[in-house]
Amino acid sequence: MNKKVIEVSGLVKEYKNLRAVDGLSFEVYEKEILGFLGPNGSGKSTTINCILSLLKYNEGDIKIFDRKMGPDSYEIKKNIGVIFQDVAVFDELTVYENVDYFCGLYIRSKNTRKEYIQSALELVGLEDYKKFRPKQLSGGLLRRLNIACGIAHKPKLIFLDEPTVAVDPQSRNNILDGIKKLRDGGATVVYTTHYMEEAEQLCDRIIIIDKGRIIAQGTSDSLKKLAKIEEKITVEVSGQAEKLIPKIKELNNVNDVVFENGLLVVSYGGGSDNIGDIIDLFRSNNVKYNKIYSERPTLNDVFLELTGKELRD
Amino acid sequence: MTVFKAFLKVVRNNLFMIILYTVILVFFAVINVSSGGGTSGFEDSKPAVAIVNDDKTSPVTKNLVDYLEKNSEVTDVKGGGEALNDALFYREISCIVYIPKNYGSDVLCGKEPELKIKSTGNYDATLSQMILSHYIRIQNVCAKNTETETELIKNINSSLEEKTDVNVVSNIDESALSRASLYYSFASYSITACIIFIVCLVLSSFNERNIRKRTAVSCMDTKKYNMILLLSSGIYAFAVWLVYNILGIFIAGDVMFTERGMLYILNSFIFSISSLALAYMLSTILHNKNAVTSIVNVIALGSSFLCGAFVSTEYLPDWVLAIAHILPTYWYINTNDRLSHIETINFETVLPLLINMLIILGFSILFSIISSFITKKKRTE
Repeated sequence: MNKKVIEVSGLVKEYKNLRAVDGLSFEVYEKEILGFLGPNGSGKSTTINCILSLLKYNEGDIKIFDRKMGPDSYEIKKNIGVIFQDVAVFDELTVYENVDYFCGLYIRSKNTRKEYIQSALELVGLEDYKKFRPKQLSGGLLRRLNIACGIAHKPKLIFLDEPTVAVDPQSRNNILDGIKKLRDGGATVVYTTHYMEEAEQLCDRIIIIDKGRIIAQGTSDSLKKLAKIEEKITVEVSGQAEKLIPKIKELNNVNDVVFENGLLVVSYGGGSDNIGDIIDLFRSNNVKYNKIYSERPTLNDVFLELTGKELRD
Repeated sequence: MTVFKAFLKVVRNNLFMIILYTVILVFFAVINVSSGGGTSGFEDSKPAVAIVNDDKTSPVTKNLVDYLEKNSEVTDVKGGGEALNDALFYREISCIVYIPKNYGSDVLCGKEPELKIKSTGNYDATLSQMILSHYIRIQNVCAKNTETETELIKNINSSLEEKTDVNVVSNIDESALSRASLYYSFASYSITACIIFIVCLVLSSFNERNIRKRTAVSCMDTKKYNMILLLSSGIYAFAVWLVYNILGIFIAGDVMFTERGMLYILNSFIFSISSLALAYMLSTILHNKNAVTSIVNVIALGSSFLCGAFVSTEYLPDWVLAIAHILPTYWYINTNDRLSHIETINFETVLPLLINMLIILGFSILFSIISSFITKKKRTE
């Protein structure tokens, strides 16, 4: 196993009557992309802000690169890059000047900086926009600039706090590809999101958090096993399906059946050719349907299983 | 250097506003210079006088008339009594001298006859009466010691010829001083606006929540970062002060290289420090860039109007001046006004000016304390 880059133990953060982070303990290992997944308000950003010493915490211990992290830990901060959810750039400076400014807070040498800025702009695909001002950029390009400003100094540890919120698909793919390249280049990434698809696609390991507590952690596949379902079949019904529900429940391996807004969702704990059984049942009972499809369980199913609510809530 | 360079780049972005405030100042200064104002040196003035002479034949009376013609502008008002009164009313003449019948012979007899005078009562009328009294006094003294008309006239004229040299004690070039005073007083608006507007705008960019957050997680020491921002603001304010003083030298001329000129420059320097402190204080409160323009207008224009930058304080009502006392601009303009009026520069005359400057520095300290209090409070929140 790789070296530990971050060690958090017993972290507690309270706001008056609210316990935003409730005894979190976890580690982040070198060269991995750790997904921090949870619904809005679950405590993800608060945890990141505590790790970065932007917030004082009530209890716990935080170590980065084997050293205790604090507001004056400038030696540790040298190797950290942060991309916040909100874009943090100067409207008055061009794309190049913005990246140069934030890179300049870490790197003194002008020549090294020039090289680093070029590579950061290439990574996020902004080489052609160097002289543009932020107001001239689209939302997606602005997010990419935000990332370039956070990673230009080539940090060993990168925090990305929901960097793809309100981003077009092209920019989103560009951002996700860029993050993979950073990991491949040797960086450790802590990626905060509430988009489960992104977490599945990108992260080596995922921590699911809710109400300030870790409710599960592991790889995407190991987490999905917690959902206790193997397959989910969804049928868009056009006829009367209610009468079929008792019959479906009698089928082999069926865990649960939900019928809502014309959609019938059947969860299976195992088995094979489950979709064939369902089609046969609909035909034999002469109930019409428009579409029928089968899915593997998602992280949302894991969340639903563990908390009884949807991740998107 | 990174922070300082970025500071300058953001300032460069607002160059238009800096130029605008400077152009306003230069425009006002040029208008002021072209409209003139003030006087320089000593000038012998001659009041306008009308004479009603009922003793035209006497050589003694003729000598008096000749004296008046020489020392004042004797105006021939045609149309008699009513016309004379009108001329007096409309200030075409400052006084009417009535010479009675037998005036000459009465003087020769030592009777000291009285001349009737009707005047406007203004400065020129007083001057006319002084000229006349001077002559009458000499005439009366001479009349006691002479018996013939010729001898009397000769004695009067020889006594009148004794002249007194006029030494101008004050050598103030009032015209240049007036220009300097008006320029520096009006500059209070441009200095305040230019420093507050730009410093607030630039610092609001640097203090923007997300940028501040990103800087806080960087390896830049927060105290060092704040110090660089403060120094950058100081350098900018110094540059504004320097440019406005160079313009001041062009406008007011050589007076700026005198002790008095140095005091104008020192006063503006101290005022620039207070404007910087005020700007820094406002930047800790203001985070909305759009609000900066409105606040600058309220503060710069408001204080300039209240404290007499545009309209002299002597025309402002007492209650306005009472309010103005709580603003540094008032003490700055008060110093400029005093500087243009004091006759000589010495410790006694300069002391009140230094006290004014200390008051302005007091304001700067107060603004700095408030800024630091607000910053600390925000940090603990």
